[in-house]
Amino acid sequence: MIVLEKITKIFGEDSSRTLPVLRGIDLQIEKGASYVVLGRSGVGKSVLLKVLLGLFPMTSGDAFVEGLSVHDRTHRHTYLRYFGMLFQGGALFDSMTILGNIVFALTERGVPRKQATEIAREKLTAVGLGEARVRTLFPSELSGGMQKRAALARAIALDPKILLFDEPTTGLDPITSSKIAYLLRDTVQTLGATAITITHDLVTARVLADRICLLEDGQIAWQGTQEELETTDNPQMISLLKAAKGERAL
Amino acid sequence: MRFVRLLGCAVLRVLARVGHFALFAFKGLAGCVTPPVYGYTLLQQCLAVGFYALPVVGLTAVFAGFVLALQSCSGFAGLSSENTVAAVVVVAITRELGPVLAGLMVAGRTSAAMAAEIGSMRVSEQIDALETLSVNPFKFLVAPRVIASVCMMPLLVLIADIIGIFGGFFVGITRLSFSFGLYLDQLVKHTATFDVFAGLIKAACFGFSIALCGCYYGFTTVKGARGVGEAATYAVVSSSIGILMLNYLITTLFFGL
Ligand SMILES: Nc1ncnc2c1ncn2[C@@H]1O[C@H](COP(=O)(O)OP(=O)(O)OP(=O)(O)O)[C@@H](O)[C@H]1O
Ligand SMILES: [Mg+2]
Repeated sequence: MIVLEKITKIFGEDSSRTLPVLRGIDLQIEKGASYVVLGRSGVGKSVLLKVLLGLFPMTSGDAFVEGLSVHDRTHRHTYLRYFGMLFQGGALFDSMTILGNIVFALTERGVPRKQATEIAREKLTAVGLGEARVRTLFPSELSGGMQKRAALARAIALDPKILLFDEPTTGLDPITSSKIAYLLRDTVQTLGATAITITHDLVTARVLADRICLLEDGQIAWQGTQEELETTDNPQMISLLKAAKGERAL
Repeated sequence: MRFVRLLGCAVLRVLARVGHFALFAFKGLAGCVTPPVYGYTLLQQCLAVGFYALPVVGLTAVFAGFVLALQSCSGFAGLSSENTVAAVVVVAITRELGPVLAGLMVAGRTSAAMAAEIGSMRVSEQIDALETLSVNPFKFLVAPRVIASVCMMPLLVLIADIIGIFGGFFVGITRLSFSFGLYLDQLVKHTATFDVFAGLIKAACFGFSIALCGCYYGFTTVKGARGVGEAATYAVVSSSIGILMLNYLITTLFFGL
């Protein structure tokens, strides 16, 4: 269970140009649920995930995973151990090969090298990068879609309980994007993990979501199931739906 | 009133920056002395800082030696003997020119590379990824670079000293028609262990400044590709200034009366 309590994040507090990004996010995510967070570009979706991971401090509020707080520095490793994060740009280490990236993630958490290599191969096969030729390539030698897959393999290397996906399908063609979306869904299901996916792509959202939230103006402006999405009267949600159909949005 | 406020703001900002840098240096040092050690990265950095800088540093040193021999000969017109020229070349190179020139060359080469590499890791979220994998970026990124620079700089400077003195020697016997044996004798006579040692201490400190500035500006990179460029620039400028300031400090420590 993930609990977000009144999370606020203001950038540039020490300067004259303060930028409030999150203003009081309250959210509870049950174990095994798959949440999709929608929202415009620059609304603070990535910031929300990073704050949840404790990559930078929140201004106020708290986040708990199974009762463990982000602010608890002594149990930081245990807290992080719950998560597998797929970053917006993949964030593969470009000094290592694809296989090296995943092996590194595993050995850093204490898995012996030999076993790590085996698991890494397995995970790469699971995301469709099983070929020996691909494994020894460096991230810069892969296409965007392949990088996303490799990054996914790294995120799921340790079978985490919570998966965070930051725009997994942005910048990919519709077919690849749909493949990745289904790959994510299957991965989440096999792991039995809780998932939070960030996207502005409604197609991906429909594939992945048990529940959908809309982030607007630093707050959760709407949330509901996919069925509720069709009948919503929330104006922002309606304009998003319209935009996705190619109609002129407000 | 407004002026005072602006001044106060500026002073506070500088102090905050200094504090931030000091904290960074402390974390970096802590990373150096606590396990785990990333051996492979350390080796890579040793190669990058030491081995690949050899041609640049060697060329700088040899030309510095050439010029020094010529200048000391023309400068001390009445005294242009093997003795004086050898003394000037050896003392200047081992005490000052070897460490400082090598330091500045490596600062231009390596600290820019460090800032750019770590900076682009920052903007492409690789440092965030390290943290989510429970890897301490100070241990993984900063510590190997600091250790490599601090260890490799003295080696580089030792080589630069030898090459520089050889440069002076070469000009001495070819251009200034000094006697081979006598000049060599004087060179050996004027080479003081203490001078060389002080130069190597300097080199280690310069290495620290180079790695720390490179890593610091890399780590604090913001704003994408332009930020990476800025980080590299700041790293070179500040590590060069750091080297010159440290040089003064250490010189007063060793040779100041
Ligand atoms: N480190 C930072 N320092 C200052 N401001 C930041 C920082 N990171 C993000 N911001 C600001 O926070 C806001 C939200 O950024 P964020 O990256 O979360 O957007 P996003 O919703 O993920 O958008 P996108 O869909 O384009 O990825 C932006 O206005 C950005 O300028
Ligand atoms: Mg984002």
